[in-house]
Amino acid sequence: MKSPNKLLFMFLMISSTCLVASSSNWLTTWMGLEINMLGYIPLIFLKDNAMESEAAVKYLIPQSVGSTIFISSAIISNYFNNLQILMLIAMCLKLGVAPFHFWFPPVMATLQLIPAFILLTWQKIAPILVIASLNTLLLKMIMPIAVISALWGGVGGINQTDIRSLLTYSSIGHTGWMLASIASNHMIMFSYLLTYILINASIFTFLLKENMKSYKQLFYSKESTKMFILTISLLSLGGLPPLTGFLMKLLVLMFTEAKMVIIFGLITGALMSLFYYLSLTFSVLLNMSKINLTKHMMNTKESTLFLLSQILPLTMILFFF
Amino acid sequence: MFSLGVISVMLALLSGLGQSVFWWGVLWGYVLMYLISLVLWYSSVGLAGCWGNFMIVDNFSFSLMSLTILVSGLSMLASVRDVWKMENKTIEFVFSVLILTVILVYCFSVSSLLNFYIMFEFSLIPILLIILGWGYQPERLQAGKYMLLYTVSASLPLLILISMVLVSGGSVFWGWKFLSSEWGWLMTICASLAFLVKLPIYGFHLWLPKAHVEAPVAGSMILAGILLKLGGYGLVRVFYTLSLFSSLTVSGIFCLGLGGGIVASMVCFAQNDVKALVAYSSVGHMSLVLGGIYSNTEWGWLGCLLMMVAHGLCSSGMFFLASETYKFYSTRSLYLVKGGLVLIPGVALCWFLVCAINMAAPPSLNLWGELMLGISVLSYSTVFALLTGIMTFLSGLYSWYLYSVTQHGQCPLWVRGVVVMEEYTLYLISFLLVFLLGVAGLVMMSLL
Repeated sequence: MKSPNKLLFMFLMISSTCLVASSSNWLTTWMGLEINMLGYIPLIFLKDNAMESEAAVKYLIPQSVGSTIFISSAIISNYFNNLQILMLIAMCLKLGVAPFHFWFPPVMATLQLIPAFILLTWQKIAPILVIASLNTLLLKMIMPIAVISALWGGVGGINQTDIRSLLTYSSIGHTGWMLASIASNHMIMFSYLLTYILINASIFTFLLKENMKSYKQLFYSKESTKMFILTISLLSLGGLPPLTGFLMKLLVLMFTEAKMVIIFGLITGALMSLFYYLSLTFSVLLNMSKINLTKHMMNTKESTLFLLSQILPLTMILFFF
Repeated sequence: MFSLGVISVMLALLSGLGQSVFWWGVLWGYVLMYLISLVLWYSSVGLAGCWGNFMIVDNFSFSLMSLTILVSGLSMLASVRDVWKMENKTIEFVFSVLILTVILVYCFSVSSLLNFYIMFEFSLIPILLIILGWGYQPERLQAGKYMLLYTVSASLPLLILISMVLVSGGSVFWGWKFLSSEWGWLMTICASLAFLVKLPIYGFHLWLPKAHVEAPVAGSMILAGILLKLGGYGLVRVFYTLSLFSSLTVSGIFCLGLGGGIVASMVCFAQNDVKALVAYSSVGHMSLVLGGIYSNTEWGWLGCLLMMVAHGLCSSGMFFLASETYKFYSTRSLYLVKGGLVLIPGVALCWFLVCAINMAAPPSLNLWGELMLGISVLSYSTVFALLTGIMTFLSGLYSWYLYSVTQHGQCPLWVRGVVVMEEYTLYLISFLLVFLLGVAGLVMMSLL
């Protein structure tokens, strides 16, 4: 990641997202999306092997198809207003939301950890911003997609043994929640996205340190404090009540205008995903019971920061309701 | 309240002083906290607010807070051999128990439904850690997963209800009543499902025997002693706050609870594990608590409070004795655990007293709880007289069954017959429980 061309592409990726965020017409939006894709693809190549180029192609095709559908439907919808829904669908394709998610897990499974992290977090921002700036009537139609995505995120992850594909399915589920919150209030969606990115960052910091990809590797880690932190972050991503992940789900639930059925579907999806976070947590916890914890003293700086990030929102919610 | 918080923080700071100082320091800290929590009982209006409206403490909270502190202190004392002597992750254990205590104390005293919900769920994490970290068999993973998924999934409807009330009413403070009863039946189910699973009533109880069988002694003491009471407490609060009423649903839950109580009491006889038997017996007792709450009378609620406190002390004592039995026999199977009267007469006496209390023999608090609950259930409908009667009979029956099966008969040859000196201190625990129950019952008698 340190070579100058990587830095250049990183800059392209970040600035193009800003371009999408600040654009006033669909043409610049489309340009931003394309540049974003072009900036991300070279970042995939960390080791220059065949797997990565396969991932790059698998990523390129759905993304470019999505952008093409997006710009063409944006142009045509001047004449046929109904076709605006295609823009929505194109963006869902780019996001990897459930009925259009089939490119997402295979790409993630072949990526290195850093590009995987970028794909899970930063690459979500631009398409979701585009969806947020669509017509509000159109946004009502997003609810079925949101529910399917939340449910599929729950079902798909159950039998995965690779942490990256697990996180992929969890991201599909979370994107469903984000889409559900778009229709109510944008600020909630933004805070959800931000919190999601931060929790993912804490998980990936740990995974990167040990270069972990599969489930079983968790058994062999030696640093118990970090394991504990990973456990809590995973449960937080699953949305277990006192943790930060619960707070964002609560906000979505409180301010959504969706029907009961949709809320029910979202929650069922979240529950099913809690199941696989738990399985992941268990392998960590079992390992903790094998090693003697007292030998590894807590790293105070890390654990303090962690406690602040996971428990502080709790105190907020306790005192304000 | 404030001093309870300060003490718990100071106890946490003790961890720097080395294991044994920490362990015993925390235990004495529990004694101190217990004494302080007793002071809360003597408030003149029966209601005390702390930190503005953040915490409101009334009859229910006082007694359950004291129960929490007492039972968690005792559970630490009960696991001296398992954890402290074995040096089996001592500091982590103490921290889990301490955090669990603090969470539960706050859970019993916060004034808003949302905060209660959050604390209610938060209490799952430490108990999960205790079960996974200090349990014995690999099956504890399944038990932990069962427990977490059952409780979390059942409590999500409550979360939706709370968020709806919060958005429409602006607050979910205990003392106010907001909800008009449109869709009353759905509201009632949403509000009570979480607690029905937590209590648990028959049909939602599958996680409980598993969790008890796999948990270490401290885990099952806390689980039976306090965590089940969260369900009863939550039901009382929710019904008081939301003033839900839907006769059909209430009758349905009533029938499920009482009928299920009988079934659970009968299932007791089919168990071959002491701990599983005790777990099913607590399912039976808790269904009576449910009846008291749903009968919607003052007597029912007070009786439910009495029953929860009495059962909290009694069942944690039973679980402690079950773990003692395990230490002697290296098994908890009812086919093998025999002849306690010959082998360990002191423990047999404890078993006798605890079983007598579990079946609500006269001087105990359980009797008063059961009487008040029975009367309030009858006031709902006399049809339930039969069910309540059968259940009381069965509870007596399985208590004596448990006693006679474990204490009589010929003891297996491999069992060591020597009581180690240190175990005498442990028996003090169960004597203490028994003593407290007796005194509490006498006090109740003199009051009524």
